[in-house]
Amino acid sequence: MTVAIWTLAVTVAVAAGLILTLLVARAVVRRRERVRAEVTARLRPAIVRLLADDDDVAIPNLTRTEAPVFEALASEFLIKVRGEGHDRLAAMFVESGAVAAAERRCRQFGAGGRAAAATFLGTVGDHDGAPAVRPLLRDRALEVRIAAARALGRIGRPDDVPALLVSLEGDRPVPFATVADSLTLLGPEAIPHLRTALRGPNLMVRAAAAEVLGLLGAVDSTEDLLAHIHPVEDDEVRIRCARALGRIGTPRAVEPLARLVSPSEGDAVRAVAVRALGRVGAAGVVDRLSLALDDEVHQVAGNVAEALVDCGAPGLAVLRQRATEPGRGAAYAREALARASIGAPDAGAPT
Amino acid sequence: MSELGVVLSAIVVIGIVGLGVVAAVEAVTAALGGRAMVGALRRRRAMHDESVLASPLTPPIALIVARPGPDAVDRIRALFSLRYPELEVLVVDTRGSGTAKRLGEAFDLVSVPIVVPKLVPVGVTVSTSVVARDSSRLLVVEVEGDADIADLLNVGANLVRSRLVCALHADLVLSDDALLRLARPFMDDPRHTVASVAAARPLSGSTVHHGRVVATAWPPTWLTRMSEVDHLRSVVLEATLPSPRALLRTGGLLLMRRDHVLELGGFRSGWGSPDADLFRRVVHARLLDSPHSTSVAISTPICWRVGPETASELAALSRAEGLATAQLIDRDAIQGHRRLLPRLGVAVRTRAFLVPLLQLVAGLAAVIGLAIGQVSLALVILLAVVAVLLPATLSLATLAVEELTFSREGRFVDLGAMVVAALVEPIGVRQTVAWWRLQGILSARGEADTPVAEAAPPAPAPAPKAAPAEPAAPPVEAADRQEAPAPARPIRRRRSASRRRRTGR
Repeated sequence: MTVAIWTLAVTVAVAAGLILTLLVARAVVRRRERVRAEVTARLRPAIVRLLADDDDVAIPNLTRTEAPVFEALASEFLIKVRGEGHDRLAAMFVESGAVAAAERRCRQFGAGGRAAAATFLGTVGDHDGAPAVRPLLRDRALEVRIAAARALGRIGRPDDVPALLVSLEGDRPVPFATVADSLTLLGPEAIPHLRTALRGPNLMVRAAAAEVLGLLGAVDSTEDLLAHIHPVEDDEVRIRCARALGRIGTPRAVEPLARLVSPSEGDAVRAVAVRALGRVGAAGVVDRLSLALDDEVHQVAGNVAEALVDCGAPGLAVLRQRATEPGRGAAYAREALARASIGAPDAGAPT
Repeated sequence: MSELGVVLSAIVVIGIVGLGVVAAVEAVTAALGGRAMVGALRRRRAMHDESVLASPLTPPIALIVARPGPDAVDRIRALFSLRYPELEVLVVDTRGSGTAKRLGEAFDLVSVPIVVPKLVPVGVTVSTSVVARDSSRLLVVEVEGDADIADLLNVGANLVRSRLVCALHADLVLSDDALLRLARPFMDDPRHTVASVAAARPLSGSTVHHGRVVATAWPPTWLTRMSEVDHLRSVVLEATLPSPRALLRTGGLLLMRRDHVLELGGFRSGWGSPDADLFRRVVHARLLDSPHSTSVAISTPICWRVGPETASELAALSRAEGLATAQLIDRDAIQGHRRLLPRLGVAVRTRAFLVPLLQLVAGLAAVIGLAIGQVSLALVILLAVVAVLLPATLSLATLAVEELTFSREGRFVDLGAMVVAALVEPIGVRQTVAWWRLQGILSARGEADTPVAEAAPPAPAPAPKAAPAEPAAPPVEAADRQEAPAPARPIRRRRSASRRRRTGR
C-alpha cells in the first residue's frame, strides 16, 4: 500500500510540476516577447538614424535582458545594409565590446552559443574576427561548422580560401553548398587559390573550385576547367566544370562541350553539357544542339530544346523547322516554342 | 482470498505491468523528442538561412499538389509566397474537376503541348496542360479517367524536373521557411540524405487566411482539445526519429530526391498514405544499398493541419490511420522482411489491440474486485497511475513542449482548458480512439494486395462558371520516346540497416 501511495504521490507531483512549468513557460515567453517589442520600438529609430549618418545618435545603456535583443535587432540591419551604414554599425559593435564578447563565445560549451557567436561575427564582418571563427570549421557540431563557413565568407578575407576548401575534407566536413557560397562571397580575389585547388588531389575540393570559378565568371580559368572535363576525371568534377564553362560563356569551350554530348557519356554529363552549350550560344552551337534534339533520354532532349531557346533567333528557327518534321525531337521542339512564345520559363532548373 | 480474487488480482497485475512498460517507453521517447524539438528551435535562432535564398546552389524543389480542392487558388498563392528560391509547382487533378479553370482565371494560364514522359508507369493520360504566363513556375494538368491519388502523384513525378520532390497534401498549412528547413539536410549532406520528413502539428482554432496562419489559438471545443492532445503527443513521440508513422499519424511533409522516386517506380496505388509507403521503400532500398544513407526528421514546427472537429470525423480519421498502418506493415513484410520478422503485422495488430484491451479488462477487474473486496486498494491505485495518470502526465509534457516551441496566442484560461483536456483524455477518449484505430487495422486484414479507398479524399470541387483564357491543347504523350521505368533496386542484406538521425533544423 505504501508503494502505491508513494507512486501516486510522485506521479501527481510530476503532473503538478508540469502544469506549473507550463504556466511559468507561458509567462516567461510572454514577458520575453514584451521586452523584445519594447526594446525594438525604442532602439529601432536610433539604429536607423545611425545608418543614416546621424552622429548624434547614442545607444543607451542596456540591461542584461535588453542587450541580446538589441544585438539581434542590429544584426538584422547588418545583414540587409551595405556601405557606410554597415561600417558605422559594425564599428559601434567593435567599440562596445560586443565583438570581443562574441569571440569569447566561440569557445563556450554550448553548440548553439558557438554557432550564434560565429554568425554574429560574420554579420559584423570585422576582419579581426576571422581567427576566432576559423577553428570552428572543425567543430564537432554541424551547425557550428556551417555558421563558421558562412561567417568567413561574409568577413571576406581571401586568406581564408584554403581553410574553407580544406573544410570539405575529413570526417567532419562542411557542406559543399555552404563552402561554395562562402567562396563566392570572397569574390575575384579567391580565383588564384581556386585555380590551384582545381589541381588538388581531393575530389570535393576540385568540384567546389570548379563550381565557384564558374559562379565568379573567371574567364582566365577556362583552360584549367577544360583540362578537367577529360574522361579520366570524376563525373562530379566534369559536370561542375561543364556548368562553369557554360556560365563563363567563352566560345573556346564549344568544341570540348560538344564532345561531352556524345552518347558514350553518362546522361547527367550530357544533360549539363547541352545546357552549357546553350549558355555559350556561339556560332556552331545551334547545329550541334539540333543533332541532339532526338536524344532518347528525356532530360537530355528537354535540355537541348531549352538550350536552343537560349540561343535566340537561330535556335528558335531550328526549333520551328524541327517541330514540323517527323522524329523524336518534334514534340520537344513544339513544347519549347510554346513556352518561349508565352514568355514562361521552362519548368525546373537544369539538374 | 478466493479463487476469483486471485484471478482478478492477476489480471490487474498484468495490466499494471503491461501498461507500465508502454508508459515508460513513451515517456523516454517523449523526453528525447521534446529535447530534440527545443534544441532545434535554439539552433534555428542561432543561424540565419538568408544566404540559402540567394545561393545558386540551392536545389530546386517541385511541389506536386494532387486534388487541391475548392480553395486551390488560395493554396497555390500561399505556396508561391513561401521563401524558397527555386520552386516548381505542379497541380494535378482529374478532368472535369474544374481545377484548371479555377487556376486559369487566377494565374493567367495558357495551354501548352507538353511532353509527358513515362519514367514511372501511370494508368492515365494527360488531357489538359496549362502553364502560367508569368514567371511563377506553375504547371496545371488534368488527366482522363478515374485516377487515384497515386496515379496523380506519378503523373507529377514524371513531369517535374526539379531535383527534389514533395507530394503536398492539399490541406497542409506551411510556415514561410518550411521548404528551407525541409531542404536543408539535402544541402548539408547531398550524397547521403535520402529523405527529410516533418510531422504536421495540429491547428484547430487558429485562423487560416489564404493558406497562411494569421492568428494562432488553442482549440475551442472539448472534442478538438482532446483530439489535439492526442495529435501533439504523436508529434512529440515521432520527433526523434524519421519514420513513416509521422506521415501516417499526423499527415506531414516529405521531401525526397526525384531520382529515388523514379528508381522505385513512383507511388503505389491502393494506399491510404502513398507517401508514407514510398518513404518506407526508399529509405529501406537506400539503406541496404549504402549504410551511410540518412533520413532526417525536422523537429521545428513547419507545417500544420486542421484536425477533426466532430466525433464522426475523428472516427473516420482514426480508422483510416489504422488501415494505413496495417497496410504499411503488411506490404513491408511482403517486401523482404517476412523472414526477419515473420509476424510483424501480427505484432503490430496485437500491440494496437492489447493496450485498449488491457485498459478495459484490467479496469473492469479492478472495479469488480474492489467492489467485492477481493482486490487490494494498492493494486487499484497502481493501475490508475499507469493507465490514467502517467498518460495524462505525458500529455502535459507534450503541451509544455508545444508552449516552448510554438507559443500560441490566447488567454491563460484557454491553456487551462487544454490542461484539463490532457488530464481527462486518458479516461475513455483515448480508449475510444484506440478502438477506432483497431477497427481500421482489422479492416485491412487479408487485403494487403487489394487496393482500398483513399484515407480522406477531398470533396470534389464545384465547377466555376467562367472559362479559361484559351482552349486547352492536347499534350504530347511520349511513352514511346522515354526510357523504361527503372526497376526497384533489389534488396540486399547488410549488417548496418538503420542509420537515421534527428536534427535541429
